[in-house]
Amino acid sequence: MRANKLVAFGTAVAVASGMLLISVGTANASSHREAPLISQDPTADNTDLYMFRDPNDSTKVDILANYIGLEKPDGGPNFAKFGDDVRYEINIDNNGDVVTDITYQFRFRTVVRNPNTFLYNTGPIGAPNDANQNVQQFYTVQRVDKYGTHTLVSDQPTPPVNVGERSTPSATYESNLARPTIGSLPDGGKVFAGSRADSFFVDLGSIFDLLGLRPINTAHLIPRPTSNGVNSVARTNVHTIALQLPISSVTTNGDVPTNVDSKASVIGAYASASRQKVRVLSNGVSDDGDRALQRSHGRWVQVSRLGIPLVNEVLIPLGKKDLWNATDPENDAQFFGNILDPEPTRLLPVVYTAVFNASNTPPGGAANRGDLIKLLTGQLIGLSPANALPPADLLRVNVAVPAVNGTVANRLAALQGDTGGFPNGRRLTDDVIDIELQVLAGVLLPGFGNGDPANNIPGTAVPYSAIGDGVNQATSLPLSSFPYEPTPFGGYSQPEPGVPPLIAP
Amino acid sequence: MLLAAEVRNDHNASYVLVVHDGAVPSSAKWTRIRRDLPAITGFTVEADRDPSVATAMVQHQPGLNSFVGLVPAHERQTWKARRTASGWLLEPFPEVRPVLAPEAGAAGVAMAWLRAVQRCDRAGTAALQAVPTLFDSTTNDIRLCRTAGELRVRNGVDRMPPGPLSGDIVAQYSTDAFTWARVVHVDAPVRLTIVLAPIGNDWKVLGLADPF
Repeated sequence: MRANKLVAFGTAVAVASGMLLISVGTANASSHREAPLISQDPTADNTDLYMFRDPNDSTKVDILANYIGLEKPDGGPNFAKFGDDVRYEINIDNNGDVVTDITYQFRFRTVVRNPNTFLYNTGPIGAPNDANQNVQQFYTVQRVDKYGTHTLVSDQPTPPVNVGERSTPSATYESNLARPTIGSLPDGGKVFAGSRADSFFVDLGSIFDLLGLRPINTAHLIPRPTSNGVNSVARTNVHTIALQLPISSVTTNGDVPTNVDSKASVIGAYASASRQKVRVLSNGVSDDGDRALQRSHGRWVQVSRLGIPLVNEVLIPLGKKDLWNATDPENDAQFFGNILDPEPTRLLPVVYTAVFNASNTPPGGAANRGDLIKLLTGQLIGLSPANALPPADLLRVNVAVPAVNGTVANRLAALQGDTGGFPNGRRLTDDVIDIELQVLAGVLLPGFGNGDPANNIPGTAVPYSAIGDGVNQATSLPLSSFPYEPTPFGGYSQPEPGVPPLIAP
Repeated sequence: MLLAAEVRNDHNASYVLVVHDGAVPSSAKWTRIRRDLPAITGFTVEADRDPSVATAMVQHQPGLNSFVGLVPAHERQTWKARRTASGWLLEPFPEVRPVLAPEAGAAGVAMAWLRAVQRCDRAGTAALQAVPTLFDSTTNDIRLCRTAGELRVRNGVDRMPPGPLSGDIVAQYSTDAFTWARVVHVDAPVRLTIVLAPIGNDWKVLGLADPF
């Protein structure tokens, strides 16, 4: 029974036969074009962050950061690529103080072999670095930690984009073009960077049309016929940076923790992108002469970040979104007022008047949203109140909890009593939209959902589980091994709108 | 003391010596700023008679990379100090003047590189390059390989001008590149422009472009 699985949501965890039960947290999901400034800068736009204990190797943890949302696979001849002028980062806090302890930094460079053609490739691409691939990207990875800065990989190739069947045949794309670009890290980890199919799934069209969820359209203030959800990011690609790291290389004690209720067992991460400051010079010289010879300080400015999915997307108001993107998690307290009084929750009795009212809608504020506080402090992933971490928008994973392979069947993760998924990290298949919508509506709160999505919203015959966008999985399922994010969709295979593709993927 | 702490990579120790104002409100922020700058390997204090100003010649492992940009072997840093209730503290951002290789050496390196290219001597050219794959090199260096004829290089060395080539270099190394990159113009056996970067005490070839 679900109510039993979700016992004491908030109180963390029960360990039985090595299996951990976690109650769910709230959350937010994905952030495609979520803030005014970054919506104009897709190359630096961090769309999703995933982190999970590796399902094939219990000594590893995987971190995947996606950028450049909503890429059309046939968007040539200048296909989407990483920014040569952007610094991409994956930041890790491993001692619970919310300050970054380890950063993996990525820089890309594009090389054009032949500027005298308009083509991305001048023949079939058989392997990375194939002479037919006219536009290539290479990258360098640094790790910054308390011991200094270490270059891990240099001039590592990215795979070509999936141009189409003639250029990059689907059947061999993964084996011949993508896998050979997976790099080895000195500590035994792996790295990959390149085009992938977007694993996120969401009905953006309905959510941003006055929160009109299609499956419950008739309950909306402005009713529409009910229908299934429409995946707004279906058949789109993203650019993924993926790390597979030995757990011992990122934990504060340098081990693979086994004690679930320990701060040392939790790592928190956020991904970010930074752009370079610009000095305005005239013919190479500033107005006051040789001052231009000075080296500038603080070269990088953070323009995008992502930890817990959807925080900036739907909890931070428009006027603060750009500030939020530029802020580090250690300074997140300034946003807690917005996070703990979620606007989507306040909208429920406004747009779903037939279901929600003042008495069955959770009030905001720290005193009323203990569920969200527990999410932000790691208490939903195995930590007791005594070991709670400072609140912050970090995607946290308890690496003492065994991995659970993500599937469509356990898409609701902790809401189903599955401890291996969101909010204990986030797997590619976790349905963070439905999870978060239900949590924001109060499924975890005493007197409301009491931790069981099967329970009815008080005073109604509608269960919390009915709240969802009706999109339950991505177009492509994850790969069975690193980098897990699926093969990118090919440009040639793109159908006319509404027409099924001729060739999959 | 601040520079000594930086040599030890101890940013917490150096943080207590700077003014904690809005730009550097926390040790974490200071650490983040310092990690974006070239690591300091040594220093010599040049002048500290005025208690409000200290000047030091700071040493780095010279190089060029896309995370930090140009790392000169030496740079002169001038730190301003402010008297506070707890004593003298340093302003967090010194004035920094890199000591670059003498500009006159750039043309000679360009000539040596050109001769190596004419010989199709890949190892020889690589030794004179700042990066393995030059910016916009894919056609120009091929054009030069096995060309006959005397090399003719125009007198003088210019700053790198704005344009398509500098766009790629600035993307990697920031607009600071306009202050240190130099160009040498080649008239024969083919016309092109060579971009060079000062790496330590030498110049290295960074990119090629059509003449402008």
